[in-house]
Amino acid sequence: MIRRTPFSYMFASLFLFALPACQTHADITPATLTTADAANISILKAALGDALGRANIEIAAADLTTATHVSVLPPPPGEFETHSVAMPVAFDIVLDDGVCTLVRRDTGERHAAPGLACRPAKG
Amino acid sequence: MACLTLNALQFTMEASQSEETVHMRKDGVLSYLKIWLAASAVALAPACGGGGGSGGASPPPPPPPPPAAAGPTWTQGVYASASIFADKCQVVRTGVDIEGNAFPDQAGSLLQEMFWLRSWTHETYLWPDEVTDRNPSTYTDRIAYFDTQKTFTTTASGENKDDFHFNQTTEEYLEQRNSTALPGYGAAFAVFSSTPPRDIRIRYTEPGSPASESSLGQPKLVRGSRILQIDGIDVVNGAGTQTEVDQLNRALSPQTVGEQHDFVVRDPGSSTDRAISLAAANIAPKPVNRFSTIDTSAGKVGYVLFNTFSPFASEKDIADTITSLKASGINDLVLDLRYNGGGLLAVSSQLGYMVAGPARTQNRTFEQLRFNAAAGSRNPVTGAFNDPIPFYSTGLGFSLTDGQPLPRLDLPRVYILTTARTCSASEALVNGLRGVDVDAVLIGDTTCGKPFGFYPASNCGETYYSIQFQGVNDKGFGDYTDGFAPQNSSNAFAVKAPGCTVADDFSRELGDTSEALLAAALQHRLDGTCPAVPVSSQSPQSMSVSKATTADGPPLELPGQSLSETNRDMSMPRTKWSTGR
Repeated sequence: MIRRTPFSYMFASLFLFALPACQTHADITPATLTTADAANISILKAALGDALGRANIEIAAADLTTATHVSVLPPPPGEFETHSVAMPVAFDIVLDDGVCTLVRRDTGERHAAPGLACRPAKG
Repeated sequence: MACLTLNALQFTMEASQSEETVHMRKDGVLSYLKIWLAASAVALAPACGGGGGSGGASPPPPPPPPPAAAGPTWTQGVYASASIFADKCQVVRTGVDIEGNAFPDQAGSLLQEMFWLRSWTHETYLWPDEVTDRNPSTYTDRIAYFDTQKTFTTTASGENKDDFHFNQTTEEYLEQRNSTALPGYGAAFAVFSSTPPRDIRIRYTEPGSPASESSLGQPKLVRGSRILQIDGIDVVNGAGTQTEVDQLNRALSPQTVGEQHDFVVRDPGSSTDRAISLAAANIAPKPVNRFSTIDTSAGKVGYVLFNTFSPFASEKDIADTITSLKASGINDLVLDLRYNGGGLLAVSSQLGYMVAGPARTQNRTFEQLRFNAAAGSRNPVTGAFNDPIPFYSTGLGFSLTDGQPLPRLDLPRVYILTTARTCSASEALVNGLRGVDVDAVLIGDTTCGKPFGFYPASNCGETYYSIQFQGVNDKGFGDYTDGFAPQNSSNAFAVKAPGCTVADDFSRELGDTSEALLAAALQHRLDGTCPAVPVSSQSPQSMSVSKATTADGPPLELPGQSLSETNRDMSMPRTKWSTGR
């Protein structure tokens, strides 16, 4: 049987404090790029490059003014990579308290993209 | 997720609070407050990320310690983490590579490079228990040491268990994977004999390439065309000096766009020679070289010559082709993979779905990667959970829109044309379909036998390939290291599949219904029989001159063949490679 100690109450209160903090996630909304011009795409690629630790970012073809996610192509397989498990990496585009943010789908990691022009997705 | 983490933390603390309570009561309420504040700071920061911070970014690592003067020491059977030795290089590169990434090299030593190879092999190699642990300090060459880091056992057939252990410079690796188009004519060469009397013929040509351009009412090169002369040099019996051989090699593998050479060729079935001139262009091999719909008495059959799963364009190319074939109303499909050496496993999976449809593939595994026993449920290379690869039913973003539904044929069987050059991701398709009981009927020859894969690893300017996983299908099967072979093959060790053994036929164009493999597929489809007489006795390949035993001239290098096609033991010195260029 678990006895209640002051410590457990402390953690219970900590949990309560954390709740409103978590509620900032409620402000996250799916987003698209405001424009897909070269300048905005350049900012997007820089943010994706930071997220993946790669200098060269190739984005899969898509209309990013309507799509709420962006896929980053893997480096092309070399000639001897005949059994390659390479896959594109998908990022959801969201507005997080008004800041355009990229959320990596397979890990849930969030990467702010300061300067990237986004708007809430339609519909 | 963040809040769930807090819940978990709370439960953990409650469960173990008995001991905690003893200490905390001694320290009183002030201690509780200190702990609470500290815990708050720690817990809240990662919990919600501050609403816009770069939540996934980790702080920069501390600078590495200087290399130890004495270097690591070897204790048999004791392996330090490979990460300790990674990027500790004898020769430090500075600046950035051709992809713009900074070289990660730090000052180190040859010994550290070899210790990295040893630990990396132990952590990620598929059969680490079969690698003899050798002391790196007794070696003076990293490649020589790498060559020891593999199993040397053989399979039941006597073949090496590990035939895919090799390396190349990282510079070469990066250059190669970033070269989507290279100078060439758009012709894939088959070299039957590289020494006199030499025999070089055309396997296929790329659509829209210099080789397929029309000259005097016909394509400059066709399948089976034999090259007799280049720039006035007799290819068959001439070129007796190394200088002339070098001239031939340069002409067969042009290095610059616009480079022009004169050829004399003879087409299959012809008794006259033709003179042509070819100017090199930038060639990017087309994944789907050609496709057609064949009308038969038993309905329409789709034919697809699919030569590579490698370029990202292969995703869209094969999906568009299946869409067209579906629209034409086919009820059977012949996939010509005889020259398809593999590539992206995901595209192979997509093709499996497009052939078989959702009823046969939904919630089934296309391929499960099997790593070494110590890896458990994790991928030891990426650290990620080792999820099975499903039959992907949508575009994945390579060249189709991510999520776009794929076309599908819903076929219970598929004919697959194979040779020894049908390899890897192509074999994975055969195996994946067999795993969900789709009837994969093989027509041709035994496939190459590569159920294995690797993640190329670069360290200190060298890129290493070492087998790290074996792919198995939905039934857990992946033991086809001696290849898949048609049922009537004399190959005793290959995995047998329904179908017919037929030799590759250079006398007809690919896709021609009288070409031996395609003809055999159509025959088998109609009545379940195979050709009575082995077609090899009627093909130009059998009429070709076998490798000369009394060669009196230097051998040509092998244009149009990749290293993986010509040399199974790829740790050997390399020759030129270019496929279909």
